[in-house]
Amino acid sequence: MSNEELRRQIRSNLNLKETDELLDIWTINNRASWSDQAFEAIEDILKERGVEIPEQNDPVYKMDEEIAAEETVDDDGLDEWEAKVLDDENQPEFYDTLEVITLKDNISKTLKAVILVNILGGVTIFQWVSGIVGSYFPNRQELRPLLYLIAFIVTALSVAIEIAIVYFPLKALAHILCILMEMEFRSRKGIQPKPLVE
Amino acid sequence: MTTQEEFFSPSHDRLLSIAVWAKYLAWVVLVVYLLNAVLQMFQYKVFTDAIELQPNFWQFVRFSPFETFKLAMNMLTTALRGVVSFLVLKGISLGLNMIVETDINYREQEKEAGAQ
Repeated sequence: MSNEELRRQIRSNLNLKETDELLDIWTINNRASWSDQAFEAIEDILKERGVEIPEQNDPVYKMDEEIAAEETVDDDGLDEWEAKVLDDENQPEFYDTLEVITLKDNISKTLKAVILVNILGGVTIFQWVSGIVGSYFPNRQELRPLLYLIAFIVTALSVAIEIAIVYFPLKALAHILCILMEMEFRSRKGIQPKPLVE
Repeated sequence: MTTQEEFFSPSHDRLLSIAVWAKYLAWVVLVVYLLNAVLQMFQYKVFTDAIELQPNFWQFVRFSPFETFKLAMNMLTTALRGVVSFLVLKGISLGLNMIVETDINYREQEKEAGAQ
């Protein structure tokens, strides 16, 4: 991968971050976690966003646990990892690291859409189920609340199962991809092997 | 790539070819599902024919908002199914490529350690 391509990848990854997050990285100035290219990209992005660039702290070359905790933004603790993998000069031949990170983000977005569409679709299921349940008790107005309650429970169960069938495999896929990327990163030359779970 | 080619075995080739198939199949599946979702829009004609209404989409929307909602949900569900299948196939493709890359990296390191 050429230097220009690498710079573009670093930049597009950093561009996804909030301004506050970029300002934090800039100010903390941890050179162990972030490369010079990453800092150049952050400076450019902040200038583009019209943000006044603050002074940086003295550079830190050793990552202590406190800084690591501050910079770990993602719930899975993989944000720092993603940056490391993208920053690495020795990029893989068979896949694009940015593609994996984008796919992971797209999976999260799709999961939200799946939940929303299934809940909305529950309205049509409710109408259908209440029609079926109601057909067993025609002309029984006094049972109507009970029938609606049964239809609601059946609909809720059906929607929950439909969401679960898509949600868990996709979530698992996202985690598997992250673990595979981490394993691949650790297998590169010059990378110190560390346990996957610390 | 030249150094990596030494470590290539038929299993790697098989995995890589599955990865390529999955990658292209992902796009085919996405396009087919999206087309299917768009084509479902014409289901309103079945409904308008059944109640002998002029086959006009806007008339259908005015006449039966709930049927329109059902139709929209069917279209969305089909499109989303396509997106989910696309992501799964893309993920399989990337995952297989990562496995091959990892294995080749370890083989390279083993060879270097052996030489030393």
